Amino acid sequence: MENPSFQDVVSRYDKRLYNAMLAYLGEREEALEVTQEAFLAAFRAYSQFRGQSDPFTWLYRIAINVANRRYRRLRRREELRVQHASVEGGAIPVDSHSPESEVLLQEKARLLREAISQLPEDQRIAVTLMYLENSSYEDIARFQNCSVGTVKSRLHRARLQLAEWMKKRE
Amino acid sequence: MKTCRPYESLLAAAADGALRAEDELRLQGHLARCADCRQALDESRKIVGELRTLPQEELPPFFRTRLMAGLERLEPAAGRSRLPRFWSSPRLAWGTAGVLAVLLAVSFLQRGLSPGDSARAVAPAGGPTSAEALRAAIRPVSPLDDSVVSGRDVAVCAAFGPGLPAGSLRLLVDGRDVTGVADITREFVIYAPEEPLGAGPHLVTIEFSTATERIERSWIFYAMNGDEAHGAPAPVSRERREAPL
Repeated sequence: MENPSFQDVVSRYDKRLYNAMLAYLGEREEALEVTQEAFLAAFRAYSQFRGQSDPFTWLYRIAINVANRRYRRLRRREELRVQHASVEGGAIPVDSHSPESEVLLQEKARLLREAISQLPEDQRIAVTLMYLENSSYEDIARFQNCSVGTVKSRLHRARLQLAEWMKKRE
Repeated sequence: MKTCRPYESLLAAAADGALRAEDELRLQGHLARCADCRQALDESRKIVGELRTLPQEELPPFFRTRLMAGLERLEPAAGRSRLPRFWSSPRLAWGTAGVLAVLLAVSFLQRGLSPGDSARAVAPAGGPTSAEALRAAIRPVSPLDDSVVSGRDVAVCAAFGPGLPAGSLRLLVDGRDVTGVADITREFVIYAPEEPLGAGPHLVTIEFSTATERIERSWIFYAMNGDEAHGAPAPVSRERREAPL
């Protein structure tokens, strides 16, 4: 069967891939850059995509590779920022007209994305696929080339770390 | 804790709501004896709830415009035609394929090409969408209309008013599509040519389309360089600036 047009792929998956990358990286600008770069890379390889796997999984794998190339640089930048920044309280630019509850919600989401981005890579992938993409243990195991038990264990450790991180930040 | 390790996978499944019935009793037995695991499970369930309800953010406006411009640049190198023709032919997009372009714009809008990542609507409900209002919402900032600037330090910039709804944008300088190399935010579009612009008049055109309207906003500026100090550059006809689509 012929692949759908790349336009369809973009229309269908761009927001989903962006949000997955936002969770994976924790930074909007980086997530946008990675999403764009991933689509460009996917476009180059689209003629080789046989449609045997879920297109999103294929895109996600490309995006993870793109992100990882950039990730080390981002981490280094963040370390420098933390080292040199004065205490700013982690304020995020939010609309001053936002209702308080919405501001809190945005802040909580930001914290959670930041927490995810601090996890080891295998846990980050498992978390984003499981909870943002509603993938099954089996699908994640196939994606990560490991056993279902390993996936569960990774998720377990990730949840503990996330809970710990959120407790410290809240 | 060593005695808890065998229960890790059960705790994981329980936190995800995927615990098999036959494991339920086994885990309950352990939880009854282990306060640490009870607490860990409570915290895990809380985190899972928060993760599953993490709000999805909209892509910023013009994300697709930029992506498509990037894909257009790749397409000739790829030597294939996997993009619809109107993506690689602006004239076709804005001219004879008008109906198709409107359909595409509708499709983009319906599928989430919506305003910014703060989840704030750029345009209020029922906000200005007429061609005139759209044109007024795109304001040339640099170089100003009819201004004379050095060709070496040109930054082409337009600001978007708060009434500009979600849509699709294309920036052309002297008819050349530079959308892919421009910086586009919710507030402005800016393009700095890599090479100095030649002396003479230059036409900037912003093509903007929503589901129901397509407009052009054009203006002209004049570039000068050291060798060209005498006489006004050849004028560009006013008709070209506000050409209807």
